[in-house]
Amino acid sequence: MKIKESKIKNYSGETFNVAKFNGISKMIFSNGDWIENKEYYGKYFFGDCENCTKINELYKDFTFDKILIIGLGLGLLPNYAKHIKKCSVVDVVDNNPELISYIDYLDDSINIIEADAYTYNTSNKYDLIIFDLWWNEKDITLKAQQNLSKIYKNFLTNNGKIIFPLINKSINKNN
Amino acid sequence: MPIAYPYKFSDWYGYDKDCVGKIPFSASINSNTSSVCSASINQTYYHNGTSTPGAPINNPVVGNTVYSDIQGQNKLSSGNYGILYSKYIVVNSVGVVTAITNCVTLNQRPITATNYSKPAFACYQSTSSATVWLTDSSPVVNSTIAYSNSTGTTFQGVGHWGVNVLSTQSNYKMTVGSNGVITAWSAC
Repeated sequence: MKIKESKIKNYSGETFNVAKFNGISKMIFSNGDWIENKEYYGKYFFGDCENCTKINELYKDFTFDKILIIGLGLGLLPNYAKHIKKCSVVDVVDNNPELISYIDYLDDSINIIEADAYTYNTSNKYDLIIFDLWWNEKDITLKAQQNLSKIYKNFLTNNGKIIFPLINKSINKNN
Repeated sequence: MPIAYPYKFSDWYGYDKDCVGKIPFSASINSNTSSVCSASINQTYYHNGTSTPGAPINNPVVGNTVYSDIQGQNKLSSGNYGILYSKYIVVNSVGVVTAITNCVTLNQRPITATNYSKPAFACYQSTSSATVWLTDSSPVVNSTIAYSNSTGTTFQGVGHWGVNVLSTQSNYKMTVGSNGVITAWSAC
């Protein structure tokens, strides 16, 4: 599921720009990384894509209702979690106040929190925590995985899991 | 005669303010067709075409005149000259490039119709009628060049692409940098 194009405004800011190309919104960050408003984004991250057996496997026999997403982007993941996965709780952490201010089109029940992923703390518990902080697999170092897992395991329900979709990796609360 | 300060009017005799330097490119010495592809690219020649700002390599194109000096006073003799990206140019008797030929057989592969923001996304897309041509059958990172046409004259666009996606062959995600250079290649 993508976001309704009419909701996404063109924007030119300090840390990112948003413009439409052939009618499709594209968010381009100042370092050149980009996100486009297309169906595949949510499908891939939630294992609903066709023939993507590795990520399908991460979600096999796993159900979730409360989700924490690390990294906001265009809001495609929280939008998918809310409207396709029907999650009752969708929280998002991002450290970019400009981005948080721009994303004003998501469902009101989606809670966007301004915080740094490496220092965030909460007493809330989630069934699923998804990391969407990187563009390239090589940037997801083992050290980053370990540091983040150590923090975010504390925020999991007993059967919950952390997923790093780009490297097809999941971590359960007790491993 | 040495020119001393203050300059005299006569010092400017012969000065051509419109003289434009030519564009340098790397090439081999003149070689026959059987050896040009293995000849060392160790010469600097010049052409009268355009350069791409910031581009480290400015190969000539068909129709350019090529020279051995930056002033463009000495045209290259007719023959074959190896140039970068595994190609050679054919130069005619008046120093004009009449053809650019690939030294390698380009390998054709199906590719996604568009590029993707993250390499992982490129793996699971619908197959398309688009095609990429690679200079190696088993691509080597930072060496293999990707072209978007079979003649190898147009580089594949920068970005993350899926290769062989949803085909019966092994699927790969490929990142292309400037000048068509493959900077990442891995199985899906």
